[in-house]
Amino acid sequence: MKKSIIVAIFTLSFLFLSVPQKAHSQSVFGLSAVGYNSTTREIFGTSATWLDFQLAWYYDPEVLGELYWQFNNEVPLDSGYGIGLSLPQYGVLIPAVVNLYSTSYLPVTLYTTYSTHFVRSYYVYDSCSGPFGFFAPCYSDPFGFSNFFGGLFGGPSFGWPGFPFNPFFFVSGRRFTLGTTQVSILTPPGPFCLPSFKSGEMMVTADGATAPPCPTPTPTPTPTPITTILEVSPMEVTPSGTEGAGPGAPKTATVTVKTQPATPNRSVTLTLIPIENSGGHVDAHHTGRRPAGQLRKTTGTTDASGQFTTTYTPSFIGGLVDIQATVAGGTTSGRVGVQSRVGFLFELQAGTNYELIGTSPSHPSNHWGTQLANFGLREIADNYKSTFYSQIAIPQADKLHYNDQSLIWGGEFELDNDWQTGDAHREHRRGINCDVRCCTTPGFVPATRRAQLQQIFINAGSTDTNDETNTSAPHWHLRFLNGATNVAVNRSAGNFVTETFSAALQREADADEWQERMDTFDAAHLQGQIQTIDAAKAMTSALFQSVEYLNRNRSNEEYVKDLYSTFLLRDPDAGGFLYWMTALQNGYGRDHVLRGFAESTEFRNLIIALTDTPPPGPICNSADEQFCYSQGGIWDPDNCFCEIEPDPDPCLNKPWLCDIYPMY
Amino acid sequence: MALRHLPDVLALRTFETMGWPRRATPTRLPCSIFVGLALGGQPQEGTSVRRLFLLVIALISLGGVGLWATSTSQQIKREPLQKAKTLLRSPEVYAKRRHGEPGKEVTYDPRPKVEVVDAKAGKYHLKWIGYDGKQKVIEYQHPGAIDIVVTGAVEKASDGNYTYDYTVDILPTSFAYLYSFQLQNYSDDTRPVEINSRPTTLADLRILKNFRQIADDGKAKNFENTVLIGEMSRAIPQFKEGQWIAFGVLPDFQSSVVPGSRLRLKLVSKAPPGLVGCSAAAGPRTLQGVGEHMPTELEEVMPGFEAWPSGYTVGPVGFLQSLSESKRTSYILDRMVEFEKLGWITPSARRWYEKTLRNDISSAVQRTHKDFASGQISSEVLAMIQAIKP
Repeated sequence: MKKSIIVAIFTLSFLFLSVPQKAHSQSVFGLSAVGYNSTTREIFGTSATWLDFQLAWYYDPEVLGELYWQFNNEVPLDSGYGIGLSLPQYGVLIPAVVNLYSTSYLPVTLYTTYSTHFVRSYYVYDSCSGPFGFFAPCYSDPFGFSNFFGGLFGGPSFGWPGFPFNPFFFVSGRRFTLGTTQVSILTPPGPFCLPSFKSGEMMVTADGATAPPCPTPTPTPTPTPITTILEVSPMEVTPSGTEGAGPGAPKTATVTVKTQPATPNRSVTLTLIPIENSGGHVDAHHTGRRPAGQLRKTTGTTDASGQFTTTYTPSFIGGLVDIQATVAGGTTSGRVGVQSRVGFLFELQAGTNYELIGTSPSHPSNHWGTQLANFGLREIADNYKSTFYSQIAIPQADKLHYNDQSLIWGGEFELDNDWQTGDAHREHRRGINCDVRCCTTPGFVPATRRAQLQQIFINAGSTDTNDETNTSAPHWHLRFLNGATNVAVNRSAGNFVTETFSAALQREADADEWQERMDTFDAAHLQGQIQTIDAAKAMTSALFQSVEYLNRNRSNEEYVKDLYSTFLLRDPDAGGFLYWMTALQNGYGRDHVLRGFAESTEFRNLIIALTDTPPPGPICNSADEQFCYSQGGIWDPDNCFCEIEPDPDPCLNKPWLCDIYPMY
Repeated sequence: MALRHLPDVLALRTFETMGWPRRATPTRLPCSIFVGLALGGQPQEGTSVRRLFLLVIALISLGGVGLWATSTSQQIKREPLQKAKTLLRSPEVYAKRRHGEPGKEVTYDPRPKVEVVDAKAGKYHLKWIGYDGKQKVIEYQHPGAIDIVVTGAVEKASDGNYTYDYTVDILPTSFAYLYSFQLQNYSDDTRPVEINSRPTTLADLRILKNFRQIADDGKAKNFENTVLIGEMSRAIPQFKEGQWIAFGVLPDFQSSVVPGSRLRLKLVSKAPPGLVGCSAAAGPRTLQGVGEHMPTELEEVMPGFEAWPSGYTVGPVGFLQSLSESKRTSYILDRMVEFEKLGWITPSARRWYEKTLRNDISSAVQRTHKDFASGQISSEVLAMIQAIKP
């Protein structure tokens, strides 16, 4: 008995242990949340379901979230259904979440988030095998949310040969509703405004209260892009080589790139775009590339104030050139056009006593001149006619024939229609010249009239007419200089670099070489005059030490001439040339001679006189200055000059002088 | 260092030559002062101070007497036409030249420069390297290389016309012939009537605007081989006021206007005499070309009309006719300083006329002939003062 009881106990225990356990859920969590923002007048809600690790082996969480307000419990303000994902074997436990949102905010209103929480079982294949399988039901819902009756009953047979009955139960993706959660919130009375449907309209709340319309919510600011602004001043400059266009005529323009908002340390790129058919040249009839001029720097970086500044120097061709700037991370600026032109040129109109000739497809309008020139040309023709034809009309073929003056914007007037090569006609640049036909018909001027005509030329303002009548291209080259004084021509650091390259290496500096040297000049310029001179010495000397120069295999004589033309930008004088040649013949090395040029006063003065180096100013002798003060004088440091003012009233101190000589 | 301690006329001139800035007006001392101070310098050993003092006083007194004597016997001395200092210098900056076939262009240095041949004579060579690689040279004559003294005399005829008689002396110190001479006037009827005693015809005046529409009265006598009578353009700043008649010397006449010679011109006008401008230029003024234009930079070193010698003379001034006697007097008085500068009136005579014209015009007018005869006033001043009471 006792033994059978013990066996029974053991048997029952075994059976109990063998029966699949109805394991109870560890945890399923449900969440409902609701909130508001009275300022932006928004309602927020959240519904969520999530499982703990154990449960996640068998289920995925799901949730249905709904947001209601007190005025309608049928149709939610917002709703959504969320599905989570459980992959515990990979550590993935993603809850099911639904975020709810509504802008139907009203004060003193109840809002509710209502959540229905679900779990969805996995696909289950559960084999109940073993000697007790037939009697031990297999559950695919091990945590007891439901039972297996919702699943399928199946199996290959009711028993394999040699095996007991071996059924299986199948539950496919079944969703089990766990329950609901909800939470409500009551919005506060304020703000005392309502979203308006019409600007300025007074609104009535649901409870009958009135409130002014709410201000439009400030939209979230979006990042502002960097705007690139390009400024060029002045927008009209004179073409290179036309310094005589008038005192004060600007030769360069300042190019300023600004960022908005001001953004420092941004790289800037500038581009020059020459505009076709500008300045009186028709591009289609030209060969080569239209010169655009030169930017002091084509790239750079914005400074602390978000700006970048450089200088534009026009080419020798008149015309329009657009400048465009691009800032990294910003917009590309609009194009700003710079006019390279000689100002105040006027077109000579047809006249009774002269003919205009010389137009061409490449230069369709070739009679532009200063007022003096045009006025003078009309007077010349009238006076020529009066002198030799009195009051009789001048025959067509006898009229003076006026060939080229200048182009509409001045600048170089090339006849061979090649932008690069230039030719013998390039001097008609600023409206003061005109070529008058002399020796071919029509327009032939008899030899007996030429002395008178030359007087007529000068009376009309053509100073020093160039008489080319005995040359292969016979004509008179008139020049209406208008009494201008000698034009002070200026050389900039840029000119200097170009000229030294040309002199030493017989070629132009490429853009990088030019830029590098200009940067050196700039850096030295900031430090002062002495540093600028030193930089110029080093740069110029380096040309002679370059492999390129050494490869030219220049003789001593050529070397000295090169030094003159590079350092002093002139031909050698006889005495100086002999001196340096003798030095070389006497065994002094080329470096010695080069140093002589680099250290020369003439070279130093040339650098000081560059327009963009520090202001020239001799270094005065301090003893002279002291002496000046000791004499009661006023010292002028710019000119190292002592001025002692004359006695304003000599009679005051020397009455005897004034008594004798009343002129005092 | 430059130390300028005034007065020191010699030192100031040195500065001017060197191109130093001129900032103060020098005060001229009479020469006798320098003499007196020099003699009265360091006394010799053994010489009594008293004797030296007396000697100095005596010398100063003599100097003063001398000055007075000079002032009373002083005569006018006409100034020649003034010349602006314009020196031609080689261009410092110039463009390189390019030429050749496209793709095979050659850049070269034209090396434009001004070479002084004779600075005093204003002769230069304008040089550059031409497109053919050869040096080109154009001779240039500065327009100011001529010294001109102009004397203007006026006569009034019974018909009311004034005849303006000019003597243009080309001083022997000149270095070139007279290329052209210009006379200003302020009267439309001003008519050149004689050039070196050769009368003009209307045909000679064809270019003058005021005579252009009048039919010719015969063959031109001057414009073919003597002088072309023209008119300076009013568009030229130096000739914009009034009318400027230009007497342009033609090749056949050049030998008549060389240094040391004299040009006589006569104008007739109803307008009374006033102060007018005149100018001249040395020739030749046309450059002989060499087959290609010189570089622009070289062209620009040549001066314009501002370099032409210029000054004043007497000439027809039409608006004086409409002025009252007192206004005409004021016209003269306002120009007295200029007259003295031009060497047309002595300082003492100027003071006298300035005083007398304000109080007693008739006396002033009456005395002009006497002062002209004694060299105290010039023919120009004589004419203008006489014209106060026409």
